[in-house]
Amino acid sequence: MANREAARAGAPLSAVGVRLGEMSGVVEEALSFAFDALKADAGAAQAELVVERVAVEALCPHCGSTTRPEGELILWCPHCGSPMRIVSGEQMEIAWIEVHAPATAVAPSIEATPVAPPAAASSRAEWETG
Amino acid sequence: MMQRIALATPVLQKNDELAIENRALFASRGVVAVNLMSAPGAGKTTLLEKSLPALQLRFRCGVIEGDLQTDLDAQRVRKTGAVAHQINTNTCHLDARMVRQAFDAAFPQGPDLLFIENIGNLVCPAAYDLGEHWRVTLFSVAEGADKPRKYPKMFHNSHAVVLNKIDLLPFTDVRLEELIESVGAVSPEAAIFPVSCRTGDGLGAWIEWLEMHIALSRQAMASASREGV
Repeated sequence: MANREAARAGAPLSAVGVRLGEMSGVVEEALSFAFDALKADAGAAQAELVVERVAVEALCPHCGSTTRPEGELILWCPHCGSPMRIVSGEQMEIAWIEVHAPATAVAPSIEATPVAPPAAASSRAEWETG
Repeated sequence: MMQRIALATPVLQKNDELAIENRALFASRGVVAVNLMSAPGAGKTTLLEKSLPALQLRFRCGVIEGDLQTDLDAQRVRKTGAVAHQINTNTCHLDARMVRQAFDAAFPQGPDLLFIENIGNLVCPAAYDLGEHWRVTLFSVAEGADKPRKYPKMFHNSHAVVLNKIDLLPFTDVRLEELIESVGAVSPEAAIFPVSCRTGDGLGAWIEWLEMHIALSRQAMASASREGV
């Protein structure tokens, strides 16, 4: 998927940002292992994987409060005792890709933002705006 | 100079799209689909064997059986008179594409009630929408009262949780109240049914819940088709 988007942008892939909820069931080590094992064959030998973990967040539909259950998951509202629903923390998504800046313009359907090299890619602010 | 392209694309987007197609197909044929999930050996096939005779009195029932190998489960289910189609996946979960292929192959007329018996696995099946209307997790009490908290996702995403093999409780250190509390902690809104497929205890309440939810889905599908949605 990342490679396809990079091809659309007409530039080689340099990094892939993945957003994983704490409840996604994805083992980060296994994903990194698979990414490193496959990237050369996928024509992206230099690509780097950047993983952002997303904490579980639950919303109480009754009193409207949100909670980030720490450690063990308990979905009874700590404020009013009602059943809560998970609103974040199950995601498993490709958040962004980074390509070496191409000579040609990017396809217009894609929102593109020039950024610094991936060293700074894991900062919280960029994740949230990315 | 690097250029970042925002995607925010779910990894399972393709599956989710196919699941939406499945749901539309089920609606067009009046099929209510139930995704039955559990660890291996919790008793999914036995639950079907015990539930289908009563359900068949009111509904034409079909079953898609997922297993890594063999068609033993499909053979067992066919003895109840239900139409059963086995898929051997060599994967640890069913996805929407496999369900679609099985449905097209086995159910040209669409049953009223379709059970999809997922691969025995308490982790991966929880992530894959198959286009079902109701998700049911089956759990055998001997697996331990702590498991729902340790594997919360499947329980959390289930509309009903059936706790099987309660006849074994005297031989284990599991307290049923503790197990029910553990399910409730991660899935406060799920209906919970302690049953024994072996003795038949508790099965009536489970079948009643199922019949009620089949009716709900049928009402929803009927009003959606009236509105031309």
